[in-house]
Parts: sequence; structure tokens; C-alpha cells
Amino acid sequence: MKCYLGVDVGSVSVKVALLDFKCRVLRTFYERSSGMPLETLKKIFDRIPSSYEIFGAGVTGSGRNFIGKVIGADVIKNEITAHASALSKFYPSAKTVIELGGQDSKIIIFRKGVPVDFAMNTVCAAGTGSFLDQQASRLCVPIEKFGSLALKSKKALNVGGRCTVFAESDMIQKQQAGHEIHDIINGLCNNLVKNYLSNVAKGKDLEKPFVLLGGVAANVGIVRAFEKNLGAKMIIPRHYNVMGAIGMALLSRETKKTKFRGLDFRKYNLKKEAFQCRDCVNACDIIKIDVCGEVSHIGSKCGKYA
Amino acid sequence: MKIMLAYYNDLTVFLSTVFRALDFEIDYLGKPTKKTIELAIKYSPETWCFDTKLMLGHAIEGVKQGDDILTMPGAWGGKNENCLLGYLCRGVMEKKIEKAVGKKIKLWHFNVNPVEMIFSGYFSAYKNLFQLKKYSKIKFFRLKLLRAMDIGIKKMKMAARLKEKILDSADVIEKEKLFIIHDFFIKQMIYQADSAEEAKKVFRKAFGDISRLKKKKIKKKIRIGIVGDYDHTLFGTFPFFDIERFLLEQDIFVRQPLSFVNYYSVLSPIYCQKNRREVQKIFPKNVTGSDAVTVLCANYLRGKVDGLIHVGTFSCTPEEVANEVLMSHKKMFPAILSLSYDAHTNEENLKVRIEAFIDMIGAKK
Repeated sequence: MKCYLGVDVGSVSVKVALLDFKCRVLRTFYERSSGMPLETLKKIFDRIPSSYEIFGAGVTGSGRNFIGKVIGADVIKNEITAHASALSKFYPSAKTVIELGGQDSKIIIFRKGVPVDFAMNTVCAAGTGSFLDQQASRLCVPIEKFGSLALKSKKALNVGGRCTVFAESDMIQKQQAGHEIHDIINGLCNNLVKNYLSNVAKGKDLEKPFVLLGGVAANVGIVRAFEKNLGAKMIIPRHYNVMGAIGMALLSRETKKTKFRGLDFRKYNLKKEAFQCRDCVNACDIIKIDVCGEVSHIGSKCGKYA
Repeated sequence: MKIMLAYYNDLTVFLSTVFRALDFEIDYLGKPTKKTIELAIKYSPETWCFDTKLMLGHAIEGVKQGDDILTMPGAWGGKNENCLLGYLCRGVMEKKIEKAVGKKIKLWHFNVNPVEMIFSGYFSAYKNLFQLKKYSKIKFFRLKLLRAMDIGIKKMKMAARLKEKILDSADVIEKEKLFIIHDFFIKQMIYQADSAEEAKKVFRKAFGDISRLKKKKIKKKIRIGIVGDYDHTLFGTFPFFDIERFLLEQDIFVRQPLSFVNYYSVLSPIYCQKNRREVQKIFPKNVTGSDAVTVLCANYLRGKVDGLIHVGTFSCTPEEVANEVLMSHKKMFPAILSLSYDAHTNEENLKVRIEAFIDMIGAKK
């Protein structure tokens, strides 16, 4: 089957989407990477049937440059553009898009299906997936149950959500004071949302309909907190956690002749080497990638290893 | 007498000319290195803005290299009541450095602004530089100084013109060559071209080299204006992240309103009355500080660019004020992206924002 491939290499997970020529989503994959994005992608590629013929490939996410060069991506784009592309196609009526990823959170403002404004978190990672993961593990609560536990709470406990360190120490203090776990989790969800709205969404024109994306959208506690604070229903798309990958598959449709190296990683003959360039004061940390004899570099500031 | 000089934008070209003419030995530290940043963070309080920290870092580097006189550009801070540097320039910085290095130092603040000096600040620069007399053994000091200043200002104008040429070269194919030419040009201006004629030759060669680079047709001609803290852009005093280079690599034309050709329209009290009147409607304050300058620049660029990038260092008060003004009236301006950064900022994060901003402008177009 002829299709387009989109890959989103995030900080905690790797997402893959396959779209046919009519932009229909054929398959999606979501895997936690545990710090090994290449190996995770390899596993996902192994699960894709060989009958799929890739006509274009796009990569986004924080690991986009490395993975993009390894697999021979036709398009390498940032996460905001990737999400905006998917939303414009599948949810053109959306006006405010909230995306909570593994280590960053974003807001994209759409008007008439076109992105007109955006923002990303700057100084604080509170409210992102990895922070919630960390807190779930500390409280010995599986992350999947984190949200449903928050729903049990009827108290609006005040947990500092402005900073990950302060939030954690505040939660410990609340535990020591004898508060119930579900009340603490609910307080955390509520204050993380407030933190998001006052930092990331600061000064933005927030209009309905709201769409929530990213792995954190699976957390019903966070969803409820957003609905409570914004006074509106949150739309959670079916493919909420792979929208970036879908966006990249859409962007790769403009490819005339793909550079994609195929789904079989064994054919890549990948060699990588890390070194520090000592030619100037920048002392850039360079990664040399050799795939099938094609050498490229990542990390050069001056363009010497372009 | 050994004098420390770091990269102070076009001012470096001017100052090196003056110091060399007055027989000073120049210890040119160049742009901030990782070592400068480490020293800056180690010895300065957390609350200081990144610019001020880097100046302290450079000064300590200079002391460690045995320099007799340390230099520090403090023009903008000295004039602006909101700026921390304006206060630190008045003797506080010296004490901080002396405490850090454990000995007495000689610190000299340049209360001259390269952009203003090209046009109107000549005499203030002279007054400032005349202090050097006590350190110089040269006879006919006044005459030599005036002659060196004259050559220095001519060279500074050439440096400013070349930068504009580079920023307007998004259609050049081999962009890395632009920066190689610029680096070579600056080094020749500092170390070799002592006369105006020599400088002209160097400038013409660099200008011609850039003009001869191969060009291509660009489909979407996106123009981005940079306003705010130029100190942290590629051609600035403390290049931390090469915004201009990053934009040029993506075929974006860059506009810096405080450039050589735009000075009169943006800042000159005589020629920019319209700009000032418009800005005073949204920023009712005496248009003197760098916060007001940023707003004047943004207003000047209305209708001339597709998007504005406002650059400011973390905790820089004037830029925070300017950002608030711009954001409160964002409907007046083209799309605005605010970048605030310091030593701890992730460069990848900045790139994502700029890329997304450009894509957004492209989608709007």
C-alpha cells in the first residue's frame, strides 16, 4: 500500500503515523523510548508490514535532526509546525490548541484554520509528561491511574505548581500532614494547569473550541482541571498523542522522490561517533553519522560540519 | 600599557584604531567564550542580567591575562534609568571585580554608543577618550587622538555597511562564506588597516567578495526584523546565539532597524518626529531609554517586515518593559516572537521557536 510516514521523536516517547494518499490515518504507533529513541523506532519499524510502500517521510520532535538524518527523512520540522499542520487538516475549526508533551508544553492559536500565534514553556517543566511520570512513580501510583485518582477528590488542595522542585516539596509536605493521595494529585493537576495558563498561555487570546493534545491528554485529572479553569469543554482527538507524527506525514506529501532509506534498519549500516571540535572557542559537541557511507554531522555552530 | 578589549560590535574597530594610534598594546579577547560565561556566572549575583554578567566575566579574564586597563561598554546602561548597568557603572562594578580578583584594578567605561557616535556622539567620545592622556606617553596627544578618532569612525561606518550587506544576503547560496568574509574583514580592520585608505581597500574587497557570491531566486521572500537586545545576536557584543545566521540559513532577509542607513528615521530627534509621535501614543514616557528605543524600532518596522523578533536577556528590565508595551499593542505590529535568554537557555528550544515562527508567517502569507 502506498503511504506517507510521519515520525515524532519526543523526549519520552516515539510516535509513528502512516497516512494513505487520501490523508486517511492507516496505522499509528506510540512507544515509550526510555532514552533510546533509535532502538524504539527500530522496534516500531519492525512492526510495520512490508506491504506498506513509503513515498515520503517526515520527522519532528526534539530528536528530529539525528533520527531524520539516520532514516533519510524528506522533511524535518519543529513540533509546533507539525502539530499545526495536522490540526489545520483534521480540526480546522479549532481555535486554541494546548499540547502537553514529555518535556515541553505549547499553545497554538488558530484563526480560520491558520496558526496565528504560539508559545512554548520557557523556564519551567512543571505540568509536562515527565514531571507527572516522576510524581506518579514517587507516589507509587501507575501513571495510567493518576488522572482517575484525581477525579475521586472533592477538595481543591493547594499544591505549588509553579516549579517542579517546589511542587514536589509541597506534595511531600502535604503527605506528611496526612492529606489523602487523591486530594494531593487533584491539587497538583489543578495547579499545574494554572501554571500553564499563567506562563505558557500568558497574553494569548484563548477562544473556544479548545483542543488538548499530547500524552498528558490521557490524564483525566488534567483534562478536568483545564475544563474547570477555562470554563469550556476540551476536545481530545482520537489520535491525540500522535498528532505530531500525523502532521509530519502530511507535510511529507510534497515530496517528489523520497530519500527514505526503508523500514529495515539492518540495511542502514549505521555508524556514529561523538567528538568535540577544538577549532574555535565554541567547542561544539559534534555527532558524526555515517549511514550507508553517507556522512553527516549534527551540532556544529559555525557550519564547518554542515 | 596593556589594555583589554573584547568584541564590542563596531565599537571594537573604532577603539582598536584609537588605541593602536596611541601606542597601547591591545589584548583583544574577542567574543565571549565558555570560559567567559563560567567566570561570569561564578562571580556575579544571580539577579544580574546576562549582559552585565558577561562584562564582569570579560573583565576578570583581562585581569588574569595581566592587563593594565580593563574596558567595559556602558553607554546604554549609563543613559537609561531602568538599567542595572547604569548603576553598576558608577563604581560598583570595580568593587565587584576587585573582590573577585583580590587586587586593585583600573576599569574604564565607554560612555559612547557606536550608532550614535557615527552621527552625533563624536564629542562625547572625544571627551571620554581624552581620559587616556594620563596613561599615554605620546606627545601631541590631542592631535593624534583626533586623527585616530576620525579614521576609527570611518572604519566603523564601513563595518556597519558590511553587516547590512550580509543581512541582506539571504539569496546567497554559500552562506557560510558570508561569515568567513566578515571574520577576515574584522581581523584586518583591527590589526592591519591603520589608515583610512587601507581600510577602504579592505572594505571594498570584502564588499566585492560578497557581491560576487552566487545567488538564487527565493520563492517566499520573508523579511524578519530584529529588535531589542542586539548585544546577543551574531553581530552583537555578546553573541550568544546566532539568530541572524540561523535566519539567513533559512533564506530569510533580516532587518535591524538600528542599522547605519536607518538611524535617522528611527532615532534622530530631528528626522524621526513621526515615529516618536506614534510611539508616544502607546508608550507615554520620555523617549530616551533602551526600552523606548526598542519600541521605536518596532514601530519603524511596521509594514516593512513580515514578523518581528524581540530579543531580550533574562531579567533585563528595559527589555521587559519594551516587551510588555509590544505585547499590549500587538495588533499594531506584525507577528511578534519574544525571545528571552541567558546562559542556561537551551539553544535547541530557541531554534524551535524561530522555525515555528517562520513557518507561521509563511502559512499566513
